[in-house]
Amino acid sequence: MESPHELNEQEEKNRRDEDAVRSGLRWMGAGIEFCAVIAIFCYFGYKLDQYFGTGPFLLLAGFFIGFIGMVYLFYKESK
Amino acid sequence: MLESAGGLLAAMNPLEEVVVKELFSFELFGSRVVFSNHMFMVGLGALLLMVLLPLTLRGKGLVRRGFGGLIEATCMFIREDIARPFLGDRTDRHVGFLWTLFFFILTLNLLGMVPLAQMIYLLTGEPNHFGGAATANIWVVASLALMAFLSIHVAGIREQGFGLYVKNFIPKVPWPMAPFIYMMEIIGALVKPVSLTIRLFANMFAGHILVATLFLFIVIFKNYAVSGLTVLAVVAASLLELLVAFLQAYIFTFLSAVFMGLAVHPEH
Repeated sequence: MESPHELNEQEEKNRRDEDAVRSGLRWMGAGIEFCAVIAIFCYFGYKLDQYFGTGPFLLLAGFFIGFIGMVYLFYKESK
Repeated sequence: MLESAGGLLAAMNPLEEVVVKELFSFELFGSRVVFSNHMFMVGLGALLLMVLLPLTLRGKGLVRRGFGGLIEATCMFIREDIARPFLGDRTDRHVGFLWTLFFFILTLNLLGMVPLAQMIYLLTGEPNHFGGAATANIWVVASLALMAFLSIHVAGIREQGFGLYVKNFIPKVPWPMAPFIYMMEIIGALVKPVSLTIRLFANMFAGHILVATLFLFIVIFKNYAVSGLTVLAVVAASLLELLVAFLQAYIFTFLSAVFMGLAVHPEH
């Protein structure tokens, strides 16, 4: 039979596991969010490209701004 | 009876469950309002819930039995295991919305599994469109996600006050970054309901298409061996669909609770 001390340790471990799963589940919708924000930035870049006639450069700028911004935002939120 | 059962497949397209069909239409302020099969299913689902759930509250004694016990256990699960870890001491203020969301989505998902139109056809011999999976309609799901979106932000504003909510909307960043991060967060907030919509809609839509495609094998091959296998496959796919019906209702509710928790208790 396990001692009460061991039981408490097990309970603590279970609780920590559950917390880890929960904090992980918060990121379940993050993939779509990440892609969608980049897609919206790309779209704005594309439209500006059409307006100014600057080729693919503003679209590329939109992509990189969106990408770097989302990585930065997720890094800040996960801290 | 057998004749009408035999005519069932030929007369009714299995894809009809996911297709919007007009039941009737009427004029309202000069524009035509269409009442579709999915609107009928949404109404039927709401009616069922409004009748069945209060019935479980009847009876004396603290311990519910049978169906009432099932509903109570589900409510407890949603409150203690889905809502409380994210909403904490604010759980009881917001759990009503989560309960409604879960039961409504689950009812619509399960009603989508009932071949209502085919059953009416067998009974009356009249081809009809009373049936279908309302959650396989992107507009129905988008309305649910819009409700979740509004509830999430209203809950955040109610708990924190408007000023603090706007201030806590973004994580702590150096001030020159703030306008840019606000823009990203606002786009992110608008994308969240879209991702909720796509997840539920795509799962339900794909499940019904899968079952319809499996049925199609009978029409293509027209022999007993393939028909037998197809029926087995359809049974298996339908069992999977039952799991998906519960799972997607759970995930929609869960993610709403997560987003609501982030709005109510800002970590940053």
